[in-house]
Amino acid sequence: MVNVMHGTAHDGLAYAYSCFGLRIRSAIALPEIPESQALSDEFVIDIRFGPLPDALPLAHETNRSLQVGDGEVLLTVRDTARYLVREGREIVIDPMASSSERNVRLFLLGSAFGILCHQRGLLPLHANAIVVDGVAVAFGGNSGAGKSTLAAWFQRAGYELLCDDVCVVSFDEKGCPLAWPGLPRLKLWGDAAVSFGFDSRALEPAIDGLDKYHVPFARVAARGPFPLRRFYVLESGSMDTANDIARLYGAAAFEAIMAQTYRNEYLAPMNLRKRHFELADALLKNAKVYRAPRDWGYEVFAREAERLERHLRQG
Amino acid sequence: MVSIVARSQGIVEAEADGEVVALNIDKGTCYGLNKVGSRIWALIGEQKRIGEVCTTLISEYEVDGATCEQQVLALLEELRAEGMIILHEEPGTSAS
Repeated sequence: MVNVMHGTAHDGLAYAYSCFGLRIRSAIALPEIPESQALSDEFVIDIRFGPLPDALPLAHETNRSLQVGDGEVLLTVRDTARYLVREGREIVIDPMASSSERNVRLFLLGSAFGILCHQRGLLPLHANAIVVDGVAVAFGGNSGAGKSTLAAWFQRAGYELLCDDVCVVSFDEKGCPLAWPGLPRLKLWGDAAVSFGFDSRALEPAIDGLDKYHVPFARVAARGPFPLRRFYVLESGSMDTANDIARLYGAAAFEAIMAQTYRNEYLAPMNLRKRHFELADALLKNAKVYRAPRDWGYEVFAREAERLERHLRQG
Repeated sequence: MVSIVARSQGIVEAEADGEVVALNIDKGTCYGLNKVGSRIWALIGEQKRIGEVCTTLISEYEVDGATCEQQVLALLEELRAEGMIILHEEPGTSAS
């Protein structure tokens, strides 16, 4: 069963990257990760092309898009590709005839990497993170909560961005959560990009056919992971109640971590709910979780961002 | 008369801020217990008679027997509905 797929020589895996604290050796160019590092012997993740079946023969949990076998998960994305994620160290891609390379990479770096993180016992949060005085502060919230726009604001305010969209958290030998540098780009809607002074025509589209773009940011990757100390769950506020930022305790804090875990719908089919709960426990022993309701709209955006900034600067 | 209480299978628990948080692995739901609830959870680590649970609580908290029993039964019913515990009859007592 143990299958150490080191491959032979470089196996056509021409590209080397470092992201989420993982070393990646890839047959597919990943321009989303600009820095290629010198090849070393410590490769952890191999990404290659190969023919994949429609279904896993021994899948014990099956639906149309996700099949879970023994140590491997087959993900099918319509009109794009199949991805086989194996033992937390290999991803095989079988693109479909009509697919665009950009979308193949989008789901590789999204869902397929999410599965890989779950297999490796990492905790991927659907969040971005900034570095404040040497520690990481993460911001989660449902899609459309304004996470990336907020990250763009923090960047302009002089903060270092660690990641956008997915914040991968590992745990050291004491169980302390560490947030890793991710893909060094923000995914912004066209209007948000323009409001931060970017020319959307000069930006790389994030996905075919949507007014959403990649805005690159400078990486702090070389400085490695940062202890995660705070996690804010962004919510839209209401007019009638004070939009106070409130710490979450107990079950509410656990539920927030579960809800904000990237690709959390894969945890049950992958039989990982118990371990995920233990990771959430370790995170909550070291990091404070807050819900942060905010007013909405461009006219109040800066005011609400400054309110968050003041809060995270408090002890 | 239901009189025995035990934790369900498939529950994983953690302690957060001095209180127990339990996850029902199948349902994926979290349940937070307050101080007294956490104490009851600890007491039913092995299956117990509800009467024993009440006796222990009465010795630890300033509460009279009737109030204690009423509140314990209410909490246990809630935990049962959440799938956190199993309640059953003590063998041989149903006829009495």
